[in-house]
Amino acid sequence: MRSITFKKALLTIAILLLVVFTVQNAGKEKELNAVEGFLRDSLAPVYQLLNFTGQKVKDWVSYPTALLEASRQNEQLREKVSRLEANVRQEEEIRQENKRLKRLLNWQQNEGQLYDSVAASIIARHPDNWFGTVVVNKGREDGLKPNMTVVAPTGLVGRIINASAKTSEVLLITDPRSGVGALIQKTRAPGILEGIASGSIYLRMNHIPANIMVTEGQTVVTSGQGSLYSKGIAIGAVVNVDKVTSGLFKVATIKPFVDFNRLEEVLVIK
Amino acid sequence: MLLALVIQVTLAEYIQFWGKKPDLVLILIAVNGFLRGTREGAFSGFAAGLLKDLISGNLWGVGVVSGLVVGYAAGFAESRLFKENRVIVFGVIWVTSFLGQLVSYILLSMTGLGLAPGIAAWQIIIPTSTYNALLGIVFYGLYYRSVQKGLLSREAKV
Repeated sequence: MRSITFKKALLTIAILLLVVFTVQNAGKEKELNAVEGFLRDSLAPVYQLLNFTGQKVKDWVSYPTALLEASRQNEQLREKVSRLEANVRQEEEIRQENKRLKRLLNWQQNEGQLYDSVAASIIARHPDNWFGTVVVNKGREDGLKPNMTVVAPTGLVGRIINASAKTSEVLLITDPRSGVGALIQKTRAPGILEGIASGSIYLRMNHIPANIMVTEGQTVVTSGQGSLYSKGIAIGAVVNVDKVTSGLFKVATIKPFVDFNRLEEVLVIK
Repeated sequence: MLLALVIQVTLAEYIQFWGKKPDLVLILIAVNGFLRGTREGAFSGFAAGLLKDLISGNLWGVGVVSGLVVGYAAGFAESRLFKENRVIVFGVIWVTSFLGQLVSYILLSMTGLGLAPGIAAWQIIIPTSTYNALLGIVFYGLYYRSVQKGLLSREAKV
């Protein structure tokens, strides 16, 4: 009886110590220790193989539905292509003008950075629903380091929080711990973009000045100011706007351009 | 456990609903605890949680404590509830998953996760617990037979 009580007391103390240790270490974006790095690097090939198999099975299962959907989309895309072709011609003109003006101002910013990037594949995701992180198959050996910006062709994905020799962990912008300095592209209204919950398909943009008009459908981009992210990367579109009770700020719900549930490849900006 | 964890980080996203994936490791801890009792339940929960913390590379301790709680709580039900009723199995996995996620939420909140209780409950804890319980009753039959007569039975180990 006495030994059971002793064991229980010991277990309680161990749990309490663990809780204290966890709380004390929280908030620090720690580097991976040797064991964690070794485990992740050793498991990377297994992750890759399982991901590949999973993708193939998914493709096979969804093939008939995809075929029907493809034929319907084909029609829509034909129309869209002709519209976009006209837009591209117009955009090219603007791009040329922009290039000339940038050169004139000697304003070398994002463009150069965007070209110095590394392509990486997602090989694993965080095991639970609390965090929105993914592991990619490139690491320190490929020149990746914490805080590098990660993008997809459609927009911002997140940033690297730690890297082992062969893999890196990316904090997605949907993670509640993520904060991104952002701007409404059209009105230049600033705000801070935060994740709601890792599985949520929406983000929240806080601290938008109440006197600036924000409407549905407006594009949100990274502000680059005081932020770890490069400037001008597309993030998403406004779907809803609310005023906070104090009346000083607005809060907007943003739908990211990137579909995080189907994301497979990313670009890491060096 | 390692296999369940590797599947969890690679393939679980293919079976997600509304952005929520089941926690295969937690299901395994709960089912194992329910069939083997508090001691083994707590131990396997502790080991699986440790592995989870190691592989996820995040906060140390959250996986360990929640795994321990789930394993112990499921083990607590072992001698008190009827093991062959699927409704009971559903309930045990749901309640233990809920407890485990609640413990994770409390610990994560203490460490500054910054997630409102309502969002945590409705967007993570309840959907994950329900998904775990639904998937758990499918998996439970196989595991139960294996523990009774198959590879995981005590006779097979001797």
